[in-house]
Amino acid sequence: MYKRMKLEGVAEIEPDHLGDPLEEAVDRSLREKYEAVVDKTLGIIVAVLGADKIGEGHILAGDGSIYYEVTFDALVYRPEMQEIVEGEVVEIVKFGAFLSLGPFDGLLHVSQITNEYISYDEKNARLISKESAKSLGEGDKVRARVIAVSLNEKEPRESKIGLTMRQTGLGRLEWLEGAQKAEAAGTEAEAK
Amino acid sequence: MKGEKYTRYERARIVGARALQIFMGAPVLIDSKNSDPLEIALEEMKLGVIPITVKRDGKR
Repeated sequence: MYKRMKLEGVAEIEPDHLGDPLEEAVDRSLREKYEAVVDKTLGIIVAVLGADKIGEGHILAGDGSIYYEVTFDALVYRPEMQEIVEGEVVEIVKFGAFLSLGPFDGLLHVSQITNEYISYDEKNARLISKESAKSLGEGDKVRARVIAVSLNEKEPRESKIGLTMRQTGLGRLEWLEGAQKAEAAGTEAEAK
Repeated sequence: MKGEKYTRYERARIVGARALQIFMGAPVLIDSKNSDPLEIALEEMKLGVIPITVKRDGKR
């Protein structure tokens, strides 16, 4: 879920930026320091929207920079457990599919795609189910649920997000449409 | 120290901090013939234009 949050931080203004308007310099410093930073409880800071309150500047011994205590607005994204997400498949591998959630990629393991047995078609880079021949390839849009979140602060790229589609209402959007139509047809037939 | 704003220690700290800033590329606030950051900082101190204050705890 994306959230707009008020955060506290410290902005370092280097001496060669002391002539710039304070707000501009603080915003630039905050963006440089905090954007794309991953925090275990917050998630990833997608964007610094701007400083809100700029406090006193402090000069430290032996350092030419000035340090301001700042509260600022930021756009933060954290995949929540049980959250429903929609995304595009960006890569198919033999153990599953990677789904782009925006700031992160999530893994949809083969065992979590359908209730059926799934085989991997290496030539076409697709995953195909055994009975109903449902297939999943790069570029497909799917709806899934987040079932595991492990964020890595030091190596944001190593963050792992686990997904599942084994539930009614989840899956590739085309399958869902198909299921809906089938259901509608079923109730119609019943009415007759 | 009657009538003076800062103690000599505070002056030294301010001038030192300011000289370092100037050395590292901060804009100079006065017209000065000097090119040595320390000299410029001293001159700024004399004119009282340095935008630095001292936070004291307790009374001096």
